[in-house]
Amino acid sequence: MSDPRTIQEIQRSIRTKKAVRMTVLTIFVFTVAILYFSPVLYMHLSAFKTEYDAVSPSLFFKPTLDTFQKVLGDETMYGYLKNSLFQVFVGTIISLLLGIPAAFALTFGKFKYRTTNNKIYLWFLTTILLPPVAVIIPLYTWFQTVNLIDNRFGLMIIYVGFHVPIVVWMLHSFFSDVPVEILEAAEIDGCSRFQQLTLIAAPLVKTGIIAAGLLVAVFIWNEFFLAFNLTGNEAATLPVYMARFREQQGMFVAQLSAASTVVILPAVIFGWISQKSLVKGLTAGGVKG
Amino acid sequence: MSGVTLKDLVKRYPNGFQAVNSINLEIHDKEFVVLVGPSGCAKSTTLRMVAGLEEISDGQILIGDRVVNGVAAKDRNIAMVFQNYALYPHMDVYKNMAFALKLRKFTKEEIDKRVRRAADILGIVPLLERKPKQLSGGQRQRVAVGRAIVREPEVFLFDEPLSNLDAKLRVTMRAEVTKLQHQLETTMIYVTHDQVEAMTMGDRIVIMKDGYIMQVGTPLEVYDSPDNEFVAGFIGSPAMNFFRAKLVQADGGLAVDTGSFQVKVPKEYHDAYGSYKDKDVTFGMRPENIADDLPEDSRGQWEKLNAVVRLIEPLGAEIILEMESGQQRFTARVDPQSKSRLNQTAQVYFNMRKMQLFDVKTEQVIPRR
Repeated sequence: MSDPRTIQEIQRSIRTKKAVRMTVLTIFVFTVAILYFSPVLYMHLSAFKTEYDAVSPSLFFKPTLDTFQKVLGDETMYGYLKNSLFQVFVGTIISLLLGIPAAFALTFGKFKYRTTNNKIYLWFLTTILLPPVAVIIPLYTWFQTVNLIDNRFGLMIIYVGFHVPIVVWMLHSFFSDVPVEILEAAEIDGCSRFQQLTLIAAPLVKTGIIAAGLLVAVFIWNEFFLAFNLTGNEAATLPVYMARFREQQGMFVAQLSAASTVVILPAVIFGWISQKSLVKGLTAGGVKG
Repeated sequence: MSGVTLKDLVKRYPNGFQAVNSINLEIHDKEFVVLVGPSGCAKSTTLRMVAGLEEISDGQILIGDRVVNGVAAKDRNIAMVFQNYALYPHMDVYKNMAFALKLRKFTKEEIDKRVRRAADILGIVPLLERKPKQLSGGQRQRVAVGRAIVREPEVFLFDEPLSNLDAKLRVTMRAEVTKLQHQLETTMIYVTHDQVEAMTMGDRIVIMKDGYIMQVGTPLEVYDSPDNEFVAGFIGSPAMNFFRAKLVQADGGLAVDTGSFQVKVPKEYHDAYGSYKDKDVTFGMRPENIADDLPEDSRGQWEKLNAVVRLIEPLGAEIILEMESGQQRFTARVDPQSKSRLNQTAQVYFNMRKMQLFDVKTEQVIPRR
């Protein structure tokens, strides 16, 4: 039995079905997205309200920049900001400086047994799974004995320790995509092991290094738990400032929102810039391009 | 410029597997030696040991008079061309070629002079500013060769450099590398699995199998007088036909009896083969020494037998026939004018002067004289 419709009619009905399906999917996706975004939106809106308006979550109000002025005028915030910037820049750079050679060595190093590379690499990975809560108490007592509580460098050491494995993890897959013959050619051409990394391998995985750096920077910028527990007034970072905000200044929704908006801004901008390389970085090695 | 000597060279892996088994080989200065063999025969491993990319487990490698066992690859003054080109993707062609010289702190003028001369030899001057990914396979391989040339090394090493190129380009590049060798007059060691490449390029061919050298010789030597069954079967295309046979007495002379047919051994080989009378042997006959048509007067040493044609492969310049005689199957390479028809019986002639006999146990050739 043949279909009585013409080909055009069949094509049209397929197209209609597709359109309906796309519409339903789009609505669903947007609903979920808005649901997730609503707290952030609430925060952003509140940031532009007066404290009086901020009590109600209404969408309609007269926007004002007064709250921002107040928040940015708070001198104490700049100390925290300085600490945060220090951790982000110094912590990220040291994590990269240690992580890049480590990933390189674990990818191309010649151990006696070939499986050795993989074993060490897996040990590195397991440390990513380690929850900071699990180590906070020994870490705290140990930090107390060596006098590193509320010390910038103390916190930085911990940040580097936690983030080197992430760098290694990301770059290992990037390095694995570099054909070993290229390094062998460089070796014959006269490169030392170190030059093979700096002149050949590192430039080839530039995207990966940028992605890893951005990711680590955002992680450090956002990190709260360790900073909260290991610092006092001297070395605390912005997330700690946010947490203490309520204790020190009281429950001012508008001010809190404005401060939060300022604090998450760099992370959002970072994310925006690095979207492409981040996706590439996080998926590299999974699928061969 | 210098030769390369391998002395009792051994490569053993930590798991105990011995890939290279006590190889001895002397490669003369300015010689073009091709290492050839099926995959897994350790030809690449051997080359990589010369390069310094693989550790030497035992034995010695000498470049010139210098033992290089402990010497790092970069200090061996060798250059290597890889199968997948291994160009530096982030550098343009010029920088790729200049890289080694820069590391060795040559002056800018000297680098420029050498790069341009090499580019000129290889015809890649217009490509100097391109990145590797903007080049075709053949161009990339030229650049890889150029990168080796500028170094003016003592020894060139090639690890299957043409395997990634398409068939036509491979033939052109083959000739180019050979020409280049004559031009540069440098020792070259070339690894390939392609026996045609080996035959056409090498001054001498080293045929390897399972980490052993099976034979070393000029292309014609290994072709005409193979040392063993493996070499006889590996060199030449289509491969030599082998028949399980018995050497028997017939008509006052010797004959090879395959069970399906009997062919007479020429008188001049009787002395050499005499001791194998009544013994099992492997009888070898190259396809090109089998004809399906011969003028009457030139049938002197050719032995006639009947065979059925099972497959015809016309290649233009020649025809490959798969034939069957009783239990025995064999390949013949005949004139394109051949009148043989599929599934019909044809008369074929074996050129017995070119016969080879091999010991069944040792697989070594039984010398003809």
